[in-house]
This record gives sequence, C-alpha cells and structure tokens, in this order.
Amino acid sequence: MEDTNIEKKGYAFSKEGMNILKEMMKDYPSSDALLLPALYIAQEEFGHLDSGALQYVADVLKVPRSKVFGVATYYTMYKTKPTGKHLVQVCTNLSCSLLGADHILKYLENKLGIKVGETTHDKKFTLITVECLGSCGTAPMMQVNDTYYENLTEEGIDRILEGLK
Amino acid sequence: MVKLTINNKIVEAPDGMLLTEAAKMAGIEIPTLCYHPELQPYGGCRLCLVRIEKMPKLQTACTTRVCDNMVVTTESPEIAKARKGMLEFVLTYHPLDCPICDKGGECELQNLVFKFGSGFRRYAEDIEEYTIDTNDPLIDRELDRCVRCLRCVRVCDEVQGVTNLTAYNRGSHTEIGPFMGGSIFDCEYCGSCVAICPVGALTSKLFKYKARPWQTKRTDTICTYCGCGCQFALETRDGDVLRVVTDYEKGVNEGSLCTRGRFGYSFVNNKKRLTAPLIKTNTKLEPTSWDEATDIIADRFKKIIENNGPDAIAGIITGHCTNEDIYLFQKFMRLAIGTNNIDSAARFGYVNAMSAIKQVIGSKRFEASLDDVANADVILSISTNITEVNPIAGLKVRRAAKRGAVLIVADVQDTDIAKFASQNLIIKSGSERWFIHGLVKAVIEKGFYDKKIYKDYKKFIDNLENIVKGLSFKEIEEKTGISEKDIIEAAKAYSKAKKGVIIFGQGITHQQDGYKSSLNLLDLCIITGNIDSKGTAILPLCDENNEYGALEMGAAPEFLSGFLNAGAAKDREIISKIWDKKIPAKKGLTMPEIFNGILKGKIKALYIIGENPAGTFPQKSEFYEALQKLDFLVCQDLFPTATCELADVVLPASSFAEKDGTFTNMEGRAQKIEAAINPVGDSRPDWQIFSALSEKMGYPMDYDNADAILKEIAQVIEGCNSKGEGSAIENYVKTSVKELRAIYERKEEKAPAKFPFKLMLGPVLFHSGKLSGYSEGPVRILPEGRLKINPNDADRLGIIEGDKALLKNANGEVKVKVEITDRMPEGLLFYPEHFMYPAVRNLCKIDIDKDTKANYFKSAFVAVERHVPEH
Amino acid sequence: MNDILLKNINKQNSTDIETYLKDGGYKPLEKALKEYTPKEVIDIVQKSGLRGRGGAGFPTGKKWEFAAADKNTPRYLLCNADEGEPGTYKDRPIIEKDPHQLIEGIIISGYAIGAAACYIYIRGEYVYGADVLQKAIAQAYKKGFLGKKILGKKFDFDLYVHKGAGAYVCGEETALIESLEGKRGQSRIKPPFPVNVGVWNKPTVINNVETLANVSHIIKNGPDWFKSMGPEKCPGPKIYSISGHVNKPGNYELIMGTSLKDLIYKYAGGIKDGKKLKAVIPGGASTPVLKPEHIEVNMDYESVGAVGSMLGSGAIMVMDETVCMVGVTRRLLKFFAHESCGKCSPCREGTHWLVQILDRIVNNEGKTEDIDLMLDICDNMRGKTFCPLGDGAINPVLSTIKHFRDEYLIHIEEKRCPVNYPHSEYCL
Ligand SMILES: Cc1cc2nc3c(=O)[nH]c(=O)nc-3n(C[C@H](O)[C@H](O)[C@H](O)COP(=O)(O)O)c2cc1C
Ligand code: SF4
Ligand code: FES
Repeated sequence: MEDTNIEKKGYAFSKEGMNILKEMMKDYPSSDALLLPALYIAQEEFGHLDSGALQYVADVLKVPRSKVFGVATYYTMYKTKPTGKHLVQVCTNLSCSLLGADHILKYLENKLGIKVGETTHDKKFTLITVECLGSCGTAPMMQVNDTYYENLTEEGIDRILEGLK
Repeated sequence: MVKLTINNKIVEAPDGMLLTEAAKMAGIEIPTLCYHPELQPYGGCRLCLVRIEKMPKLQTACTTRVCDNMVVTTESPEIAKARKGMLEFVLTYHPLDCPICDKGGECELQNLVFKFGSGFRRYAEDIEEYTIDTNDPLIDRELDRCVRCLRCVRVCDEVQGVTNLTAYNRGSHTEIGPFMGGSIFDCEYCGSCVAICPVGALTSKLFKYKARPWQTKRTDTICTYCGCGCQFALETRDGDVLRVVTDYEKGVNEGSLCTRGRFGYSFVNNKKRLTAPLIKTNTKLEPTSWDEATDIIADRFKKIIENNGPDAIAGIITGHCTNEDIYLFQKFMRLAIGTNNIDSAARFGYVNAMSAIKQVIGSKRFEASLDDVANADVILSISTNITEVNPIAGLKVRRAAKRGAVLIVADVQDTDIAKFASQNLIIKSGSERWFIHGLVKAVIEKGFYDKKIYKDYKKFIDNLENIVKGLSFKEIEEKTGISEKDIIEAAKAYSKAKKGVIIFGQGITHQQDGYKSSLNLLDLCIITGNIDSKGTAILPLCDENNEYGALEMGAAPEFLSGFLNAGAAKDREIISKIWDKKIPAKKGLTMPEIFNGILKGKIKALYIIGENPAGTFPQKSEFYEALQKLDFLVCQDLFPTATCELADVVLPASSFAEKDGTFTNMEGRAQKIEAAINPVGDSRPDWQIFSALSEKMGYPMDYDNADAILKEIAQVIEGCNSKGEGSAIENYVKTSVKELRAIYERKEEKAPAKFPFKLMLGPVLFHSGKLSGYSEGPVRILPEGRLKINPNDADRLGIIEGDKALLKNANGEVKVKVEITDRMPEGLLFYPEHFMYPAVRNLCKIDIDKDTKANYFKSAFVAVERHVPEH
Repeated sequence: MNDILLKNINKQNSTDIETYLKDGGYKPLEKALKEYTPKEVIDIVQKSGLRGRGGAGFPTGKKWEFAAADKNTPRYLLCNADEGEPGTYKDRPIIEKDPHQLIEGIIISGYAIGAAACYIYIRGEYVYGADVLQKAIAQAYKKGFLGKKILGKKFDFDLYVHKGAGAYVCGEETALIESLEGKRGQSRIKPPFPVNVGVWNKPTVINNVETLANVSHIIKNGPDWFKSMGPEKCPGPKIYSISGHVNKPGNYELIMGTSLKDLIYKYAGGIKDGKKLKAVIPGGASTPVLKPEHIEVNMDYESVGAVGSMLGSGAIMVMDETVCMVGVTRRLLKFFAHESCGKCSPCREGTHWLVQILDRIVNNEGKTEDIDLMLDICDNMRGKTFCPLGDGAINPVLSTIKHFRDEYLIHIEEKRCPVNYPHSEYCL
C-alpha cells in the first residue's frame, strides 16, 4: 500500500511519448481507449507504474485516477513495483512444463542466485513465472522484456544471459 | 406490459423490466446480493439464478429482462442447490465474525445464509487472518468481509459520479478501495458506499459498536443542513441519534446524501448544547427556569414598548428553523410586539434571488425543481460551486450531464462540477454581471432569442438591445476573461435548450447587486423562452435548509406570509382578516437597518433566534459594535454562541431532531420533519417558546402542536393565493427603459494597490452553517480551514504547502494555513466561512445592497505574505 | 499440407507487401470490392460454411449478417489476436509471418459488414507480432488498400493495432471490448450481443485471426472450393497447434476433421522418446482431457464433441506416460485461478478453492472426500459462472477425475505419486 499523497512533480511524458499518444488519439472515438497504451508509455518512460505515474496518466487522459489504478493492477504486464533491467519471464503453463519448464526455472534461480519473484542485487534481473505465451510448440520458453527465447536448454540460457549483461 | 409466467403464476410487468423486479412485484422473492435497484445490472454474485424455459443454463434474474411468454421457475431442487453453492463461494473465506461485526442483524449475507445457505463450512484451507483498516477518519474497511459485489464501487461511480473507489487486482486477489488501495478514502465522504455495502466490509466509525440495528428507532425526517431538503431517517436509541440512513427511492435525494447529511448528525447530542434557560446576573449567565426567563423577557419587552414603542424591538431568525417556528415568530413580532422589524438569514443574499423571482414571475411556485435539473437538456450553472454547497443538487447536474445534457459552468474558480461540463468558463471575480450581460447581448444580437417571444415582448427585447449595445464584447472579455466566442457559444447552447435550466448560487446572490443580477438572469430566461413552461426555469441555490420558508413565512419586513407585500394595505388586509388582528402598517427594518437602528439608539431590544452575529460579523464593523449597545438582547439557540455571551437572556432551543414541523427546500417543496427524540435537556421547540412568550405578552397564540400551526399556515397561504394576480411577466416586461437601465448598471471593484488579493469566504463541502462544527463527522474530515491559493501566487510569495500565510488589510491581520491549488485563479483567495478561528471574517467589510438591503461580508481585499513562525 | 493459410510463412520476406502481391495478394480484395456487394460477400462466406476458429465455432457469415442488419453506425470489426488459450499458437505464424493475408481478410470482412474500422486486439506479449502488423498496415495504407476510397470504391476503412496487457479472459469477446475501451477486461452482460451493442455501444463483429485469414481464400476460390474440404458442417483448412510430448511439435495446417491419431503420429512424429501416450487435450486448456482410446477421433467440432471433449482452438497437448494427471490438473487450474477476472463468485472462489484442494492432493495431504468435494464444486460452477472461463476451468478437473480417478486415489490413499518417472516428483 502506498501513500495516496501524490508528488505530481517529476512525471511527464517525453515529447515522443506524448506525440505517440496524441497520434493515437485520432484512432479512437473515445480517449478512454488510450488508457492501456498510455500505461505502456508510462511504464516505458517511468520504469514502473507507481502512484505518481498513475496519477499522471489519469491527469493526461482525464480519467479518474482510481480507474487508472484499477486497470493497471488488473493486467499482468503492468508493473506497479520496480523490476530489474531484464525481466525474465518463464512460462510454466502445461506445454512448457511437460518439456521441463520447472527445470529451466530452477536453473535460472541457481544461475541468478534469486528465487522467483526476486530481483538480483545489481538490479539487472527480475525472475518471474508467466502463463502461456503462445510458444507451446517451441517449449520450454521464456520472454526477457519483449523478446521471446524458445526451445530453451541450459546452454541456451547461459548464452542468452551472457548476451544480456 | 408483457405477460410471463413465474412459478406457474401469470405475472404482468413492463416490457424490459428486470426479472428480479418483476418477480418482486408479483410477491416472489429471488435472493440477490450484488443486485441493487439503484445500480446498473451486474450479475456478479450469481445468487439470483433461476430457470427460464428454452435456455440451456440457469440465468441470473438480476440481469435478465422480462419478455412476453417467458416461463420462469424460481424454486426447485436444482435452484436451491445452486443458491447454496453460490453462497458457499461467497463465504469461502469470509470471516464468521458476525458477533463482533457491526453489520450483524442487517447483513444481507447473514440473512441469505440463514435462509438459503448450508449450516457448515466445507472450505477447509487456512483462512488468512483478517485485518480491519481503521485509518480513515470515518470509514472502516474490512476486506475479508467483502463479497466483491462492487456495489460500493458502482454507487460511487454510477450514482455519485465521484469514481473514487475502484476494484483493483484481479481474480481472488480483487480488492476494493480508493486510489492505490490507500486506507484514507479522501473523497466527498457521501457515505453511499457504507450505506450500500451489504456486509460489514465498509462500516461507519461513528456508528461502530453503538447498537444492533433492531435496537434503534427509526424516524423519517428531513436534513437540516442545506436547501436541497434531503429525506433521511434518524436512528435513535435512548435519546441519542446514532446514525442517519436512507431509502434509495425516497425524497429528492433518492437515497443519496452528502457528508453533512450522512455524518453530520452528532451536533444533536453534543455535550455543549444549551439545556436550560440562562439569565444574566451581574456579568454572568446563570441557569434559571423557563417561567422566570420568559417573565423577564415579557417584562422587558413590555417596558420597551411602553417607553419607546413596538418598533424599538426587532427580531432575527435563522433559516434552520421550521416553517411553523418561523411563522409563529413573525406572527409574534407583528402581533404580540407590533412591529415589522423582522428578518432572517435570507437577508445574507438569498432574498435577492427570491425578490427578483417574485418581481418577475409573481408569487406562484416558480422555481425549477431538482427533477427539472435532472431532466434538463441544457444547464447553465453560474457561480454555484454546486457540488460543495448543495451536493445533492450537484448530483442532479452530474446526472443530467452524464445523460448527455449540455452543461455550461461559469465560476470564479475551477469547480468540481466543471469536470462534467462542455464549457467551463472561469470568470474573474466581481465580473459576474459583465458575464451575464454578455450572454444577454449575445442572445439578442446574434438572434438567438425565441422568435415567438419576440413577437409578444418586442418592446422589452428592443429595449434590452439598446441597453447592452453600449457594452462591447471586447470590454466583456477584458472584465471577465471570457472571449466573445465562448460567450456566444454559451448563449447559443442555452437558447437552443428545450428544457433549459439556470442555476445560480452565492456568487450571484451573496454579492453586490445580487438582486439586479438575478433579474438579469431572469431576462435571459424570458428572451430565450426558457421560463414558465414545464421543465425550464431558474433555480437559485440556498445554503440554509429553510431560507425559502423563512421568506415564505414572512420573516422579512417586506414580506408577509405567502410572499404578500407587507407594504401593501390590500395584502395586509388579507392576512389581518385571517389573524383577526391588524398587522402594523409601519414599514419594518431589514437586518442592516436594524443594526443601524441600534447604533442610532432607535432599536433597544433584539430577539435573535439561531443566528450568531457576534460570531459572524467582522469585528471592526459597526454592526458588531451595535451588538454591544443593546439595552436588551435575547438569544435563542442550540449552543452557547458568542452572541449568547452578550445576551441578557438565553433560551435553549430544540434541534430538528427533537421537533415536528416542515422545512421548505429550495424548490419550494414543503416537507415534514418528525421528532426522533425528546428535547435535549430542558430545551424546547422554538414555536413553543414563541407561544409561551406570546401568552405573557398578552396576546396568547396557543397551538396544540406543530400540525395545528401548519393548518393555519395552509389557510393563510390559501388566502394569499386567492388574491388573484395578472401574469407577472406581462407586467415585468413593461419595465421602463430607465428602470431597465438601472438594472443593467455595472459597478466595478478595484483592488487597492496595497491589498492586491481578493479574498472570498464561502461554504465548503464538509461543513454547512453553524451546526456541522459541532458534529464529529465533519470535524474529523475537515477540522480547520485552509486558505486556497493559486500555485503561481504561492510561488511568488514563497509559500509552500503546509505553510501559514499572513493575511492583512486595514481591518487587521490573521494567520491561516494554506492549500495550494490550481483550481483557484491567480489573485483570488478562498477561505471556508464556517470556522470561527482564525477569524478571517474580521478582514471583511460589510456591503449593503441598494435594492434589497441584503448585507454581505464575504469578501475583502488583502495583502498576503508568508508567515514565518517565531521560534 | 500447409498450403493455404500457412503457405507463405517460409518464404523470404514473407511479411513484405511486395512478396504478398507477387503471389496474387490483394487480388481477392479487388475482386470483392469490384464484383460483389457487401451483402454478396456475406452470402459467399455463409455459403462456404466457414465457422469461427477462435473456439466456439460460430458460423462467420451469420455473425456478419446480424451486425450488418443493425442500422446503428459506425460498425466495427475487431480481430481477436489475443491468443491466450494454453497450447494455442496457431495465430502467431499468420501474424508474424504473413500479416497481409490477415489484413486482406480483415479489409474484405470490413467491407462485408460495412465497418468503419477494425482494431486488431493483440495480446500484449506478442510485441514482435504487433510490430510486424504495424509495418504491414502502413504498407497497405501506402498502397491504398486502407484509408479513404479504397481501390477507388466508396469504401473507407481504417485498421489499427491495439495491444492487450496480459489477461487471458480478454480473449472473450465482451471482455475484449471492455479492454479495448480502456477498462478492466471483464465480460459484459449478454444480451445485448456485440453484433448489436459492441465496442463504444456500436454493432461489432469479433473474429479470430485464423477465421479472418480464411476470407481472402474463400473470395478467391469460391465457397464451393472451401466447402469441398472436410466435413459438411465444418469445412475448410484448420491450423492445429501440437505441443507436449511429441517428436515434432508445431503448427500443422490440415483439412478440418483430420484424425487426432494422424495428427499425433503421422504429422507430429509420434510420442517422444518412444514413450506411451497417456492423455491428450484436444483443443486448449479449457477442453476436457481425452484418453488414448479416443485417438481415432476426427478433429472437427462435432466429432470431438461426440467423444466428450471440444475442438476449441485446435491446440493439441500431448502427454506421455511420465505425467501425473493430478499434477496436470493442478497446473491448469492454477492458470484458470490466475486468469479468473474476479467478477463472479463461482469462478473467482471456485478456481481458487480447487487449486487449494489439488495442492493438497499433490502434496499427498488429500482426503478421501476431496474428489467428491471437487466434483461438487465443479457442479456448482458449471453453467453458473458469468462467462465461459469458469466452464472451461472445470473441464480439466472433471475429465481427469473421470478418466484418471485412480491417480487421484493413489495420491490420496497411498500418499504418493502414481507415476514413477523422475521428473514427475514435482507432479508438474
Ligand atoms: C475465456 C475465453 C478466452 C478466449 N480467448 C480467445 C482467444 O484468445 N482468441 C480467440 O480468437 N478467441 C478466444 N475466445 C473466443 C472468443 O470469445 C470468440 O468466440 C471468438 O473470438 C470469435 O471469433 P470466431 O467466431 O472467429 O471464432 C475466448 C473465449 C473465452 C470464453
Ligand atoms: S466493500 Fe461491500 S459493497 Fe464494496 S464490493 Fe465489498 S461487499 Fe460489496
Ligand atoms: S444478484 Fe444477480 S448476480 Fe448478484
């Protein structure tokens, strides 16, 4: 639970962010529809969606802030808490589990030295599990930030993490 | 109407009605939990499952609309099992803490489980320990008890239009609360969420552990705060008012209330109440008996009449008294004393609007109703801050706007209702008349006026045209800050209305030339044809609940009961006949004239009921001085006020909770109130006091009860109505050009260089009048005033949030806490008028209206600096 | 196979409009606009027998007809690219590898129903796919296939990509609409149906990616061609996503009604490591589990229905003998509990409760009554939840108890996992 006293200062979309939003405004009959896109931009620009970021989005779109909060906490892809630079998301749904997602997860936990839900000390990696990401035919898989990594093996993971450092 | 079958019974219901409601009409109960008649269908709890023929699955009755030939079964083993199942889901980890839950006895879930549920819990997993969040000043939140019906969230959004609460997280982690799930609601505190929660998840701190619902007595009555006249019930036990509850379909408020109504009741049982008559011996007030107190008063009054004549006595009554009280008071003054020196709180500004309306429309019931507001297609709201001052009227505006009505808001600050407005015009303080004249000008010059009306009132409109011609849009923009384009847009929208309503508030009525401004607004109605036909009209807001009644009952030197003209012998005759005693012909004095009279030594005695001039007048004013000069002062009140301290006799009056009678709200709707408890201490309903005094004055006015007075009032009003009157508008439009010109005079106010800020005092949401400050609820939310100031102004002055500011002018200086908000325009300051300390009012000067003698002391020019506390 | 919907995916520069045009792309659009009235397009699609590929199998032409009949305008088309059903990844190759096939289908469909615009609601995780679509849409605008006066006809049509943000239930039509409108994605009360009161309260058609991808082919080759493929009631090509314990998991485009056995053994190369088949989920996580004895079933709506499951999205999840079915059930139920939107109590509490019981059983702390208790919870959920997610959620429980009751009993009574393979120690 966070303080509801909002320090509004320090939250403002970049010019590009604002432009994207303004452009999108033309695509919808109601600006409420921009809430999800605006939250993405806010997350991208402010790192995560804390109360200030949510309040800012509410102000920009003229949507009640409680509504913005309700929406941001409904969807799994919005982060209301800070995460590491690389968000490692391991699919543990059935198809991936059948092909060893648990093992992959354990391997990552050991390798990163953290448990699921935690962030490494250097704030580089946060490890979480996710539900099916639509890569069941190339299981097991994980998504790091926006990128899919499929047909995972231990060696593959070593290489991927190396590339992310 | 459609015909359907429910449980083999043929039922008729309006097409499209919800099945739950149709069944209810037919006397068939379908259990529900998330359903609430006031809210949109939701269908979340699934308790109302029924079998409908030709449907593969059970259907929720609360979301299904009836149609012809529908065949419904609401009782069967299948349905019974489903209900039990749904209840079990709702109860999976609901704490079984009914014995200590405040909702016990009126919990919908408890009742449902008792009726339809199973006797034991199959859920065998660990149940998290529950925690009550008690951080909010008024509302306790216990989320483990929450059944996720979202009634609270929905009422907050759909009905109140506040949208402060939300559901957050997902699935079984769903919780409800304000932004960020915080524990402080930080909202309007209307309490609707608490009222609508079916379980003990949201409860009122003020009611907590006070009683079980079946132990309380419920009395339907009317709220005593503002002019909306909301209906509610007081729940009492052993003489204590424990809480306020509403029925969603009842009253103008349809179950909604504002924070004052919902949580502002505890002044009734406040320990500070006056409980016995007091008389001044030497310099101290000492308790005495009613008999002695009234003897003294009668004696002194009689002596003064003997020596100085009846017009040496004057009376002022609050607009919080009942019609019966006020009626009897003015009758007492006019007949038992023999003077027209009577006035009421309406003189602080409301009288402006009512005089203007009476002037133009006459003495019929003339105002727009709150229903008209809700159903309007265009609403022009001028200087109201309606959601704060008259929240329920504000709700109607919100509702209309949400429904698609065009809302034009003009105010000196950015108000909350503007959120719903299609035009939000921030006008410079003091330029309201320029703005209104701009509208009139635009309507006439752009040809927006009603063409039919033009035929009838050609001369009038032509005259108006002549008068506004001299005023240019450029000048209007200079003065008001509103562009020609915006004025024309607003004028156009309003003229095009089929059901146009103008709402105006204190910013018009409680300001210099409030009477003229009101007339100008009426002109706007006339020329656009937005008057006199159903659903279109004008509505002045009043902030004391019975100001309308005060005027209608005749508590004004210029009005007799029924708005008859006290100056007209014919009118006096009508009432004299009914009273069987002549009404004095001598013109009475208005409030400012009374205080002037005291200063001049003409008025010797003052009888004040429920008003506190010593606490509300600026101390450096002549009026304040006058109070010290009186020979004899009687104060009748609920609480020992600053004025009581100056009084020779103090009489304890009963509050609205202790008496019967009627209040008339701002729509002109008289509504009954009923005593919920016996008078506190030795207090008495005001009318009884007048009755007792009249007897001692040798003119007994004896009534069995308030109802008997009401009967007489009805008779009097009926007498007035039979007077017969031509069309008032027809008369009004004959106003001479010269008079019209006077009505359109504009006085400019300029801030002196030394005092560049304009400070305004006014009402705020959490308080109203003099009583909320004695109530725990409002005080908890807003214990002290804060000076609202624009961020740029604050920046320039080096003031930051939490600082104190020093306000100064020739009248003195005060230190106040500040609240920096971009809702205030630069150069304007606002401070709530309800707080005695710090005495910001002392900076104000008193202005007196030329037309109606209304007296205003709500603004001042001041200098502001940051207050540096000494260490 | 792979010769209709997936025929382009292995081409070089398959996402480029030039590649698509070279192969006759956007010719069907031209044909539809020049030769047919919107009504005729609807008729052709009706005649083809195309049924929705999103899971429910509703006749596509019918849906269009309803929306087109509603006089309220503007009308909208929504392309459901939320692809969230576990096991399903059939829309992804179309989106990522052959976006123009989808875009062309969308434009023709938009023309048919008289839509002003279409929004492709794509699951937020498909960042790459959304990007591919954006670029392809920009190309189509450039070529004049989108925008004002398309191909010189009096037909204006816009196409946008809208990203979801992680909520399976937003694949459900009305939840999708709510989400698109910027709300918490929770289903709406029906009726009114989206075809009459949909997004922004306007008539709205929602179609799955694969459904829309079929449209240009139907226009090109005619309804009879389409109808000639597969079963009478449900013809056409179908992309089956196969995952789990098979040698060659992947997407296989075959004729509707291909047998499950062929899919597993002929196309997907049989069970991995020569193990034995234990169970198959034929249509995504919310469809009931089948046993090896059902393997002859033809993969179309009717036939799969006849053996007690559903075709769903056609996502086949194959499990070999090393798998503990209680663990599988728990794994799936965790998904449903995670994705339950929280609006209705049976789904919100029921899924959560089932997970807790399954947790206990898997941890060998189950009680004998637990099976009956679960069956009763499922019964209290069945047909009573607000949206079909709740109905889907109970399928794994009901079908595994039906087919693999003994595995539950071993967990409960013998306090051990019925399967003796090493990795089953986690019971998934
Ligand atoms: C819980 C739930 C999730 C769904 N998810 C999807 C999905 O991810 N993609 C999809 O196309 N349809 C999904 N559907 C089906 C849609 O509701 C809808 O039937 C479909 O988009 C209609 O398109 P079609 O007629 O082309 O199949 C889902 C349905 C439910 C109840
Ligand atoms: S707090 Fe009360 S009204 Fe609100 S969702 Fe929970 S049970 Fe319903
Ligand atoms: S009362 Fe019908 S679903 Fe709750």
